[in-house]
Amino acid sequence: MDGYKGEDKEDMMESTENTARARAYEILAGFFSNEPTREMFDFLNEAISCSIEDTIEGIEVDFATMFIVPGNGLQPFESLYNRAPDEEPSLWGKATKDVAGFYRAYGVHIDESTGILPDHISVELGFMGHLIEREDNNAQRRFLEEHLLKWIPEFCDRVYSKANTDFYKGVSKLTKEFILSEYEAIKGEAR
Amino acid sequence: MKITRRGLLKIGAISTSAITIGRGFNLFANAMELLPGGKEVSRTTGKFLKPIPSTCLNCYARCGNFGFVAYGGLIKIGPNPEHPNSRGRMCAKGQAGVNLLYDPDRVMHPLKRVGPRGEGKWKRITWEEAYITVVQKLRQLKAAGKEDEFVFQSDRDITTQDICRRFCYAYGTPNALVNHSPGGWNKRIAQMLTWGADFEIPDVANTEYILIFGSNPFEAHYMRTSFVQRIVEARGLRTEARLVKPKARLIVFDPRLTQTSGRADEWHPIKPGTDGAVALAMASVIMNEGLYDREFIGRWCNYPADKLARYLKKFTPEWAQKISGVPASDIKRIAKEFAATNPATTVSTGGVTKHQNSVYTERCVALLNAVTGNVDVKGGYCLPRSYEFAEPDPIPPVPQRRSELAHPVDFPLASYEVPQRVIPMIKEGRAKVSFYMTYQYNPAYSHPEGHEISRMLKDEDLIPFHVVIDSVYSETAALADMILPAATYTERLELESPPAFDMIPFVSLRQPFINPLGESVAITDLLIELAHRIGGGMERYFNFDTKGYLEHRITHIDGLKKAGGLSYLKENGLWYDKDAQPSFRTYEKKGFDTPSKKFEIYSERMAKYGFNPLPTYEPIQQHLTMKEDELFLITYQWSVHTHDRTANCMWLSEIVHENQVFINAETARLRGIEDGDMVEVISKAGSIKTKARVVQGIHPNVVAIGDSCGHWEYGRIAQAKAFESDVTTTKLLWWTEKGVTPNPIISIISDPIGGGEGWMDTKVRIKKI
Repeated sequence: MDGYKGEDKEDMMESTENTARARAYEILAGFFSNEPTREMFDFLNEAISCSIEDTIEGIEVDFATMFIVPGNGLQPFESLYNRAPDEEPSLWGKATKDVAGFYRAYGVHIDESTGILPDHISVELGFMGHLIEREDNNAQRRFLEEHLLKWIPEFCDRVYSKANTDFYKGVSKLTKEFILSEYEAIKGEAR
Repeated sequence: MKITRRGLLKIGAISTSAITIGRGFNLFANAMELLPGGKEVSRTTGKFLKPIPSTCLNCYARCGNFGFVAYGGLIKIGPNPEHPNSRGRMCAKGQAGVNLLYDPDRVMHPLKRVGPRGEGKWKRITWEEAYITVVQKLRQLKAAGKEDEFVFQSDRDITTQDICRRFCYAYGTPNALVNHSPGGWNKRIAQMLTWGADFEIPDVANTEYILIFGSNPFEAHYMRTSFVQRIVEARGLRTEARLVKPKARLIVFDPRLTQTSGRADEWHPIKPGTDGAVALAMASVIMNEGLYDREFIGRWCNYPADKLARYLKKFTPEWAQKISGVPASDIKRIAKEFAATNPATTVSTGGVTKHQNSVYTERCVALLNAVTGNVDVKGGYCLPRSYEFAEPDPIPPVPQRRSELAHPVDFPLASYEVPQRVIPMIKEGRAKVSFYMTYQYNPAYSHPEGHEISRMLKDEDLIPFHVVIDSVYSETAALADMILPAATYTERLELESPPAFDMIPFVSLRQPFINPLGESVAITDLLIELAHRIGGGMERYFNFDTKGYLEHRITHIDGLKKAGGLSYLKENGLWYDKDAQPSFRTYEKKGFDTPSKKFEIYSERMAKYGFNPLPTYEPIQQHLTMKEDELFLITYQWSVHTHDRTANCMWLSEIVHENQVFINAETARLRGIEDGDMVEVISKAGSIKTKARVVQGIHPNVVAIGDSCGHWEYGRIAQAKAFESDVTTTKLLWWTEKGVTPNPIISIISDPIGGGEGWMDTKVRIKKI
C-alpha cells in the first residue's frame, strides 16, 4: 500500500510539473504574440529576478519594431530561420508546412480565419504546451528536436542583441534558457 | 538577470489564468483554438491537387491563372489553358505571385507611427483602433463640411477603382484620385479624343504587317503575354484555308535594340520623341500618292481626304528625316508597304506615350491606321472588347464641389487627375488636404523627382494625416502615420474583363487562393466596413458585402446570369458567350464614341482649348536646347518586373536586381567610359551613380536606365540585404547590388493635353567617376 501511495505521489508530482511546464510554454508564447499586459510585465520581473525599467511605449515600439514591422530580420516565423541551404526565404516555407503537418497529425487545428501562420513562435510554443498536456513524451521530444531547438535559441540570441528594452532582452533570455533546459530534461528522461 | 528552470516552473505552477495573454486581437488564443483533428492525419503528399481558377494581377494584362493549395498554403501559381487571352502562357511575374503573398517582409498588422514621421518607429494597433481613428477623422471633416479635404489616391489600381470612387463620392469628396487605364494617361486621352476608346488592341495574330513605334511587346506591352504570344504566332508558321500564309512583317522604331527590335525584320534607331514626325510623313506619303482607303476616310472620318492630303503635304519624309534621323527613303518605303499590305496595324506604347508630345504623336500613329482602313478590321487596329460592370443602386452622385486635384484647370482635356502632380499641387497650395489615404501607391519611389515627393510627404503641415493601405513596407509607407495591411491579389475576390484578343468579350474572376495572411484585409472589405462605421447616410451606398457587390456588378450580363453568375465563375474562373462569333467594324452599328460619331482626325475638343486639332508633331522643348555633351535619358521596363511592386519577389529579383545605364559604344568612347565603369548620370533634378553598360544597340544620343530597382525600403530582397538570420541565405541572396532608380533625376513634366508624365524627356550628362 505504501508503495502505491508513493507512486501516486510521484505521478502527482509529475503531473504538477507537467502543468507547470505547459503553463510556462503558454506564457512564453504570450510574450511573442502581443505586447505585454501588466501581469506579464510583473511576471517577467519576478521570473528573471531583476527589475525592468522600460516605459510601456518603449516596450510597445520594441515589440512592433522587432516582430511586426518588416525588414528588421526578426519576424518570428520558423521558416525564415530553419531552412535548407537551397530554400529561399519566404513565409509558408518548408518548415511551415512541416509544422502544419505536425499539428494535423496530432489533431490540432488552427483557426484559418485568423490568418496566423503555423510556424509563428507563439503557435509553436503553444503547441508544445498542448503536447505536454497530452503527456505525449515522444511527440514532445520530436517537436523540440525538429522544430523548437532548430531556431528558437538562435532567434532569441538575435532578439537579445537587437532589443532596445530590458523587457525583451529578458524575454529572449528566458525563452532560450527554458527551451534548452527543456531539452536537457527530456533527454534525461529518455535515458 | 538570473534564470533557472526550477524558478520558471515554479511561477508556471502558481500562475493561473490571471495572466492573460495579450490584448485586443489575440493571436495566440485564436490560433490555438483546438478542434478535433480532421481526416487528413497523414503528412504524406502525392495527392492530386485541385486547381483554383483565378486571375493574375501582377500587371495589367490580367492573365488566367490557377492556384494550387496544399495543407493551407499556396504552393504554386500556374497558367490556365482555358483562358481566351493568355491561353496557358504565364510570365515570370505571374508565377512569382507566390512571392508577393509569402513576402518575408510583408506588412501583416495595422501599425501606427510613434515619434516623428519617417523615423521608422511604429506601434502595432488593432484593426478596431485603426477603424476608430480613421472614422473619427472622417466624421470630423464631414461635420466641418470639409469632405473634399479627404483625398484618396492610387495610381495603379485598375480593378477596384470603381468601389474606391464609390466610397469617395458616398463620403462626399470629389477627390477620388484612383483612375487608371492600361497604357497610361496620354494614350488614354489621345485615344478618347480620336475614336472614343481608352486604348487600341492591335489584332496582331491575324495581321500581315506590324509597325511598331516605341513599344517593346517582347518584354513590356501593357497586354504582355497575351499580346506577345500572338506576335510570335504571326511571325511563325500559320495557315489559312490549308495554305501556308507568309509571316507578318515586323518593323520597329525604337532608340534601343530591345528584344523586340532584335526579333524584327527592321530596326530603326529613332531619336526619342520624334515618332510623330515619322508617322506624319508616312501618312503624307500614303495620302499624296493616293494609297489611302477612300471609303473609310470618306464615310468614317471627320476630315475629307483631299483636305487631309493638302494638310499633310508639308510633312515630307525629308523633313521627318531631319527631325528623327530615320532615312527618308525608308520612311517612304515603309509607308508604301504599310498601305499596300492588308491587314496591317501599328503598335505604340511607352516610347510614344511617355513624352510631352504624346497625345499628338499617338494621334499621328492612329491616323496611319485610319488612312489605310485598318480600323477595327480583322488583323487591324481594333477597339477593345470587354464587359462593363454595373454599379449597384443607389449610386452616389458625384460631389459637385470643384476640385483642382481631380480636374486641374491647367489640364482641361485630361478628364481626371494628373497623378504625378497631385502632391506638388498640394505643396503649391492649390488644394488643402487634411486626410490623405493611399492604396498600393508608392510615389516616394515611383514618381519623377521622387526625393522631392518624399520631402513633401514628410511635411506634417502639408499632409497632416496619411494612411497607407498596402502589403509592403514601401518607401511611401515608411513616411505614413498609419499602415493598414492589405490583402494581395492572391487573397482577394474581384472581377475583371480585360480586352479580348479573340474579340469576344469575357468576364474573369479573381478569387482568394487562401485567406489573407495575418490581419490583412481586402480593399473592398475595408471600404465597406469603413462606410458602415462612418455612417451618416453613407452606409446605404454600401448595402452589400464584397460577394454581394460583385453579384450586382454582373447581373446585367444575361448569358453569365443564366450560366450561374458568380458561382459559375468560382468554378470556372471565367465566362464568355460560347456561341458568339468575333465581329469587326463594330463602329458601323452606332458610330465611334466621339461627338461626331466618327474617327476624329480633326478634334473639335482640342481646338476648343487651343491645341492643334489635327495630328501634328510638336518638338520636345528640352531637345531644342540640347548642348554638345547632353544626352536623352529614356527609361524602360524589365520583362520580369512591374514598375514598382515586384522588387521584393525573390524569383524576380534574382533575375533582375541591378540596372546599369546603357550607353552607345561611340558615345562612351568619347567620354572615356568603358563597360562596367561607375558613372554619374546628372540631370537638372539631381544625379545618380551606376555602372555603365556599353553597347552598340542604342541611339548614340541616348542613354537608357530601367526602372524597378534601387529601392531604399520595400524589404530585404529589394535592397539586396542578406538575410542575416541564416548563413545559408547569403548564398541564396547572392547579389549585393540593388541597382538605382532613375526617377529622382527625372523632372515632373506633363503632356499639356493628356497630363501624363514625360518620363523620357530628361536631358542628362554622363561622366566617369
